[in-house]
Amino acid sequence: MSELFRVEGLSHSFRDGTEAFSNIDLSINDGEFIVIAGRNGSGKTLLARHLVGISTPTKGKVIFRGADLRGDVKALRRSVGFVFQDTDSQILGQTVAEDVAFGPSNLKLSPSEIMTRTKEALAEAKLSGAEERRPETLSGGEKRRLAIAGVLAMRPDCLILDEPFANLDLESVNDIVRICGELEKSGITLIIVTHELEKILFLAHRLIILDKGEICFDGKPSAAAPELFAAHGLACPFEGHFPWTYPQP
Amino acid sequence: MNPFAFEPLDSPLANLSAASKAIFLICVSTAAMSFSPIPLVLLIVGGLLLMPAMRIPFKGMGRAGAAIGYLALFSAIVRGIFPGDGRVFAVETLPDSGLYAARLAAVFVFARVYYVSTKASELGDYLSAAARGIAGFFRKNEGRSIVLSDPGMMVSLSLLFLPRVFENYRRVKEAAELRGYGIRRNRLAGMLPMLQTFVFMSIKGALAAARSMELRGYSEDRTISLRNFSRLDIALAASGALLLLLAGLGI
Repeated sequence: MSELFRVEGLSHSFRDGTEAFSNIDLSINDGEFIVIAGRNGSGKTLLARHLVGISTPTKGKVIFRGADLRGDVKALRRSVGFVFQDTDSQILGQTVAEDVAFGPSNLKLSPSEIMTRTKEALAEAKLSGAEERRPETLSGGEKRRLAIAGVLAMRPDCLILDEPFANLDLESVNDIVRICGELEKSGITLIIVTHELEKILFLAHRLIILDKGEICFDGKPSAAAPELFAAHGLACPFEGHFPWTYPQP
Repeated sequence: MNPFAFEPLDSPLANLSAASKAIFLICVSTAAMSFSPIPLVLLIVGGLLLMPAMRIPFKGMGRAGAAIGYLALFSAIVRGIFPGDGRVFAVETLPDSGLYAARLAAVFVFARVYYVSTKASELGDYLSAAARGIAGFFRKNEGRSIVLSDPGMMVSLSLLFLPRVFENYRRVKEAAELRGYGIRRNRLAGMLPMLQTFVFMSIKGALAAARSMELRGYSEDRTISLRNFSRLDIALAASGALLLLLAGLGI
């Protein structure tokens, strides 16, 4: 497996001096399925933003396929897709098909290739038949799947989903989990940022827990002790534990 | 707000090129400004019959239609009031005012047909293609490059963003009302924090959209696929030109 990302001594401080995280080292390989978890404010979304080059490190660097992200991010844009928690702001088309075609049209592909990719991405996200619908008429789950389709149409090597299960009902959660399962089989690198571990951890190869700006755990999910989750503000996703190990308020 | 009320596949006109429909709209509007009353009435009736035939609903025309009605009424009052001979209103100005109102009505009907059957982005793509053509012309013939960014994307984003701004305003207002805004007589004091939140939300939304575009590799050289003119497109543009010719002949 080749190395996709290498994070070296990454630190991020806000303008008021608050340190989000400091000196983080991390390596992510092609084909991995990683869940980044942690309590609210632990820095997990910020870490994901650094991986796609939309936040600037205070110290350290992120290296994508051997190249420092502080240089050219064009290769990253072609290879790494990011789905925000707030999918509304990610929708850029007047219709579902137009929105999905936005990314491929920026890759300067031929119109027929754009159409092919759009159809394939919509089928992967189970949105075939909704091509001409206006995005604002979609449900929350459908919007999330549309955001995923919009990124998949660019055929990325890596997909990062930020809180993909937030505000979704069970059926929509299952749809997202199923899409993740299919993407994992296709060999794409998947990074899921969430604290809802019970929904997705069973599919993941690797779990990273962030707390107070530090990596507290990085390894196989099965190697994580049940107590570890509660200690870092997370519900234990293992059978027989959830939700009883969750600390009482 | 967004005049493009495109509901795809609702109308066979949606399958025609935005450019041929624009040519027809320009021709028909120009002709309506010169037609005598009988052809003008026929044009309006034709437009109104075209709407159900092309599965375009009348619903949604009320407010805009009323606004045009007010405009025509205002124009009629201004035209006829106090003619200077001691009368309050000159009744003989009404036929001309009626003709003006009919011309506005004709343009309104065909503009409505255009907007509900045309994607804003399709029209935007024509704008971007035209901008690229102009830039290419200057580069080739004048030996200098001019900067013309992507007007099509600007149109598309504006039309996408405007409804979101209104939605943000509605949310902020509802949240404020639920917390007592409007109970006090002095609404101004409560309005300032509301406006502040509204502006902040709008800027945040714009930044999020820009960030999304960046993450999806937005480039001004993006692929633009323009629809080829079909025979129906040519027929539509030609019928517009014919109407213009008839108007030019004084019909």
